Amino acid sequence: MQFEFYIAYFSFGSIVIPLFIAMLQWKRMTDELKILRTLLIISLLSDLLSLVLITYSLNTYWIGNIFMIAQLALLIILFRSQLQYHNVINSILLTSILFCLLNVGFIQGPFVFNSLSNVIACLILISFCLYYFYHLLNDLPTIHIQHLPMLWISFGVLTYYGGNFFLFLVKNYLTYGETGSHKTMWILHNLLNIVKNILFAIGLWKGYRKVRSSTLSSLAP
Amino acid sequence: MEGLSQGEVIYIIVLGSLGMFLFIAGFAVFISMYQKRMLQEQEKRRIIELDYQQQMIQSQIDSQETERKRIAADLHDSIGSLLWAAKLNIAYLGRLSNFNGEMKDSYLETMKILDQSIDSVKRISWELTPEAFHNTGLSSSIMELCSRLNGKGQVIVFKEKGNQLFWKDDRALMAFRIVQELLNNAVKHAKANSILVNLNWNSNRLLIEVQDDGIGFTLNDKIRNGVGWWNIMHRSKMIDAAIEVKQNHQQGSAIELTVPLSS
Amino acid sequence: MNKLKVYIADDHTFVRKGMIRLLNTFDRIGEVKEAANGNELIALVKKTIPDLVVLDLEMPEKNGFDTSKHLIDHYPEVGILILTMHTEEVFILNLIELGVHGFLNKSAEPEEVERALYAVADNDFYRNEIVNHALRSGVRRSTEASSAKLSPRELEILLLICKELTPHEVSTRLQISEKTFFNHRSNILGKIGARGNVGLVKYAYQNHLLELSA
Repeated sequence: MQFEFYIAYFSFGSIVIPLFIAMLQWKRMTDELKILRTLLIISLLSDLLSLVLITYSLNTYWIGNIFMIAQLALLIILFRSQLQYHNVINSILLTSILFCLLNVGFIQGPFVFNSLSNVIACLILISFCLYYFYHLLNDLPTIHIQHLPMLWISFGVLTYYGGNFFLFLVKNYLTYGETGSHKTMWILHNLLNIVKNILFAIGLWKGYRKVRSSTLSSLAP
Repeated sequence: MEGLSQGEVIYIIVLGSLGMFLFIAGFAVFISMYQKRMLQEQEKRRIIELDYQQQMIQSQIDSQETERKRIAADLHDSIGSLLWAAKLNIAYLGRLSNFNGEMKDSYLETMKILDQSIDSVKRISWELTPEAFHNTGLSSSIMELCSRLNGKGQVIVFKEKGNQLFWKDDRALMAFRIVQELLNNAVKHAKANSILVNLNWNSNRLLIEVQDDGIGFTLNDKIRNGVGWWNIMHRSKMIDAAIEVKQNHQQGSAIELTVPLSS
Repeated sequence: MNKLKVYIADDHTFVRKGMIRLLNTFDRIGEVKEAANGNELIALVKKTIPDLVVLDLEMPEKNGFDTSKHLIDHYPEVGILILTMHTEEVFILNLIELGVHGFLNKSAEPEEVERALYAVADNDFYRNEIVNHALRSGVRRSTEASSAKLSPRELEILLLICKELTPHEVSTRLQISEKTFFNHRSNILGKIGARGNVGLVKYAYQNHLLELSA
């Protein structure tokens, strides 16, 4: 086994960390954490399916492409729950999903990596993150921002999609020798995925602690 | 698929940690920005709250003042006049019939009772609101107050130094109220025999000193006489006056009030 | 001597009734009428001009100050005696300025009431502790000295008036006719800008022609 496979397996397995924390608080969850939990479950299922297909040496890109669309939709819905202007967000959601579906069906097709959809998802989600941060700075919803679950979740989203976008932009300059190029990208992407899952886990943990402490205080006389 | 070269591994580690470092730095900057804004906001809110509290106190003191005015006017115009009417009728009876003996004593006593009642009404209503304050000014009113409190078991001396200003606005009334409260404390609670009220006019501030030879005041006094001290403190604050207890022991107390004359 | 016609204005019925009863026991007081406020009083005066009015300061509709002003402007011959709880110097000084003839406290003895009424009727002013006190503080406060120049004779008359002599007594003392006395008096009033005897006394105090011994 080589270095990049350790990273790949760890990346694949890292989804378990946030899922485990989500299990701890299965019933008492705020709506935005429930959205995240759905995303994690879909992610796990698509990864498992890919693994099965890989063992039979079948094309797995179509799973990744469809999962990408589902992830984009769920994350936009997640941000929508935190922001105003629902009409604007809904139209962004519809347009982008429509475009991605068109892309996967007719433009780039399901059996190659949908780079176009990926770029659009990156741009949209980076914008949402930045707008959400701006919104936080204006709204000042809580004294200790580091205890806000959504903050960590959006850190995760920003890291993952921001990093992805960066990789996409500099893809041609990042190569370490001709052969390493593809692998380097793959490893870096896996690293980003690990970090994202850890940040999601922190967010879920913050939400878990919040729920637990409020339950405890409601039990107190 | 062949393995990565060592150079590639180092390359990835350096690149990855650099990227991570950038992200973490960005998040830290964001959190500190947020915290800073939060502090600013809290400070703003604190100031607003303080303002609001000050306004509440202001309106409380204002309503105290109007209430006093109303009660004083009622005392004057209704009870005072009624007592006067009673006196007129008693006088009429006295002139009609020649009382003698016990009846004469009763008549004279009744007259005296009425006189004293009328005097009390006048005194109380003056203490509630020195009606002509805005015409007579601070100095005269304090002088009047001292002479009114004089001879009730204590001697009150009023002294004045410097260029006396004919100061008669609302801030002057505040200062007067503080002096009134201090004198009341000295007379009622400190059991003082002699009290000195000293007005010292400087170009831009007025020093008011109230000294007595009473038993001083303790924290218990403050609690017992809470409203009095509440009034003194908040009224001083409202006219930006500094209040200082210069001396407070068993042999007497001295309190100095420094009032800036132009706000 | 004719009996004096007196009108009383006070918003308290009991005070009016009591005053009427008391005034009726005084020898020189004739008819007494009552009014509940300044407007009623002015209506009464319009019908028949009295010798004296006894005015309360605090009254609804038209207060004592405005009523005095109206009476002094339209019926200068009516003697005004203010009967009040408000003996704060400033109010008194303002009323003196206006030309009111005398002041009584609402706690005065019946004898003083009688004395005051006669003094206003005979001498055109009644001087008591209230007036003195107010004038004293008025002197303390006023800084401007009047520049009016009075002749020696006028000064003499002024001082005699201040000593509460009746016009008759003054003219006898100075061996002049009463008509001449009144001429002099109106000259003095014109020169110092006063509107009545109390104004004269005030002027005398302010210019240190008179010491406040009383």
